[in-house]
Amino acid sequence: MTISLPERPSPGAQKAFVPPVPIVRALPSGVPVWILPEPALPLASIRVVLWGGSMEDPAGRAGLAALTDELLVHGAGDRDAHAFAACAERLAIDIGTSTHSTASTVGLDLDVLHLETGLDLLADAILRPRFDKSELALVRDQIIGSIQQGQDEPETVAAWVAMREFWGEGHPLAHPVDGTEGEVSKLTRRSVMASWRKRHRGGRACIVAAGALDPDEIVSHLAARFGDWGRRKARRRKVPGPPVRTRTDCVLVDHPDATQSVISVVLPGVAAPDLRLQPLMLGVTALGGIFTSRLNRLMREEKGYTYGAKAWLDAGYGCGTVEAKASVKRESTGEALVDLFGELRRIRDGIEIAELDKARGARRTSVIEGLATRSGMASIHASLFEDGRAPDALRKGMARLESAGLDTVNAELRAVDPDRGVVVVVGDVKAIRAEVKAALPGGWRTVSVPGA
Amino acid sequence: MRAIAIPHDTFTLDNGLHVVLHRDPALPQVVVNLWYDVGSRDEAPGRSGFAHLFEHLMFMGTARTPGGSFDELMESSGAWNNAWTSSDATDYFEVGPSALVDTLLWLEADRMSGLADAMTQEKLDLQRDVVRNERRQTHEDAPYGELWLVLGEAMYPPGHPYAHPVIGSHEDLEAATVADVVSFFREFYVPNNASLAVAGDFDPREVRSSIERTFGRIPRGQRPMHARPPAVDRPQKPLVELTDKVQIPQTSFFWHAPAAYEPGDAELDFVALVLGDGRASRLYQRLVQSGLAIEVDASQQSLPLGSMFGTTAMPTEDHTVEELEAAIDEEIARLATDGPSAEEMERARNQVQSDFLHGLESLRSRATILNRYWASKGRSDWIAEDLERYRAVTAEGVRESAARLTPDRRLVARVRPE
Repeated sequence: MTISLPERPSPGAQKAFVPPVPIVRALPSGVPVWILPEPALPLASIRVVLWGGSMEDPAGRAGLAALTDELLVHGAGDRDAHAFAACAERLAIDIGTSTHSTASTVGLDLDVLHLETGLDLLADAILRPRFDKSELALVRDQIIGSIQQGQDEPETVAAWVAMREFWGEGHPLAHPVDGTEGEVSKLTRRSVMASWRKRHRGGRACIVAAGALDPDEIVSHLAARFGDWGRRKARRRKVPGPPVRTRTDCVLVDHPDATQSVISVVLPGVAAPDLRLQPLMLGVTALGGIFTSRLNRLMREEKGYTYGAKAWLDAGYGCGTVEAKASVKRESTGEALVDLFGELRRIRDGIEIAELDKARGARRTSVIEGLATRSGMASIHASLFEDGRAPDALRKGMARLESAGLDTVNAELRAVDPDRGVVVVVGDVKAIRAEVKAALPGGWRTVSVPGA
Repeated sequence: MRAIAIPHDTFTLDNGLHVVLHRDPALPQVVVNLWYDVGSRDEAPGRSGFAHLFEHLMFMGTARTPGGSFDELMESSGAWNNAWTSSDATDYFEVGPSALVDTLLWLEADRMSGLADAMTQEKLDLQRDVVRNERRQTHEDAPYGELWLVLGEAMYPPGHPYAHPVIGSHEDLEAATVADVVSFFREFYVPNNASLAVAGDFDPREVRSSIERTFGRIPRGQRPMHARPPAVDRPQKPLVELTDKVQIPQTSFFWHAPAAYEPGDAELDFVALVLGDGRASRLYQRLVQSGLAIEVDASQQSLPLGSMFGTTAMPTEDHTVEELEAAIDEEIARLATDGPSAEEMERARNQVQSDFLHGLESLRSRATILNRYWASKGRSDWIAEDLERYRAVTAEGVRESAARLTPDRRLVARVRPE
């Protein structure tokens, strides 16, 4: 028996959404402070973001920035590693670091009842890390363990190899952020100290604070703790581009007996800050950023040989890539390569207005959701600083997303060239080599995992 | 400690559908969360993985919303959706602009009323392939993933609802038929086996009216019967040894534990926090700080038919899983003898309160919490009582719970490099 329902309702008129712009202040030393008050819950999230990151790892010392950053919260000021952790954990203060290729961040998430203790820990971590030898050895072993675990994960291996092959050996973005086993094992306290002195300077920093915070009070608290940190200005290094290619580099990595093959494609994209970023992001979202995107529709919903296929724009400071990825059933590897590259070529002919509307809606919803938590608000704005963008870049970027026309988006998509990038396939090489070569004729090379 | 609440109204339609409305107009967004009281525990013999496979089929369209137009309609207006299946629940949710709330509700009512009528062999075959790929990606090719495929049968007697993995076996997935889909739908996807939560920026009167006009037309079904086996006290085996394509060995302990919300459940959450949460925790200090392990954790997985308490650790290059096991045993025994310190109790309480507060941040999280309490306690307004449950935990209660974690009552699961 069919159950009747009323006609499907048409969507009502969408309410306008304008992202907040942070209140911008500065510490006496000049370090900018971006504040996003949100009093609904007694929580706060603070991010100290410093441009730099793993791209500044010296040759032969891959992983130095990540090791140095992690050690900041393993003992600082008067507290050794145990006392530091005990103080934070007793009050459920979450303090941690993250290292990207172009920036480092020290983050604090807490109940505002414990704001002053949290800020004491934050200032100690950034200004007075101890770098105790025992902790250095321990964290180094943990990172090596994590690298070894990554070597066992086909998707992680695909990401590492794709970056190395795309940027080229020796490029500052070519190595994994955590480094390689061999190079991390040789890192010393002396090199860690040098990395900290070079990178953890106020002249590179911005502090983002979101949550139940009074702007005057938080600036006062920060000024009391960060003193004149930041007097010396630093110049940001330019990121060199990838090698110019005349054809796609095709690379195989052996993962014997794998039941799936991971396919990863990296193509030149647009760096931040750039006005082309939003239109290209919309186009790439239509390609692989939502469930009904072209890639997922074809490779998962029509062909059924993958759990999901996606594409995204990774636009960092001075560097940008368009990337696509899918883990596919081993026996469908060749067909998946044909389909994936077919869609990458077809997208250059442009998308339809309905696809643009979907992409625009998805981006809008994603931004609103991101701003629903204090940590989301702080992290989104920390990323803007990391990418060299202004405090109001989210609002301006949203306005560009809303106004980007089909012609503009399609013009940016025409510049996406699948024949000028890198494709990496991690899988059971013995089983897939022939079909991979047939699917995408080219000079396929078999390479090893970075550092293995 | 702070007061915790999620303001909301509830009502029940004549057909038994439980509805929760939580209004928060801070952002122009709405979340619809439809929770069905069905999971892999309800699968028939020889049909492991079916509840999860069915979840995938719920996106394959109806006569009124054919093909892929469920997702197409949603994404055309800036919404997105997803779902998850566990041993005990299947939860569907949508996030989108507030202006879309009526459409989201209609789409959920449409598939609750008409999915089975439009089911075909082609849809089943396609999603079966997708799910089998998910199994390969998340279990077979994932490091240490094989453990989660065999854990159920090592812990529970044959036929127990938790004895098989949610993802199922390739063989059982292959065996699923269109008739199975229709039968499962008729039995479990009925309004009186579900709770609908709407959270965000909406007019409660209009939304209630919209729900009554759509979901209100769907007839009540038979109230599904869920198996209620007696609590299990000991695992089926003392030891499982696996090999995998990994470089670092791993060892885990698993114990049967009191069911979710039962006496002893909150205490074991505290045991997990004292033993394994953070760098000041006992196991981190004993195993990682001393150089025995590269990582260690402890957790209480709270489940309606009986929970599972576990620890997992990975040795450093110069040490073995057996050394880690001995050290973990000693630390548990120490906690069982001396109990936690006052500082450890304060740390655990603050951590729990912080987790509750952070759970209130996003609309999506709030909608899930409201439905989870309905499913577990029969009431959506249980968050304050839940927090109270943790506030009432005593050091002696934590000690007693740790004392139940004895070597003779646990499973040891080791994964070694091939």
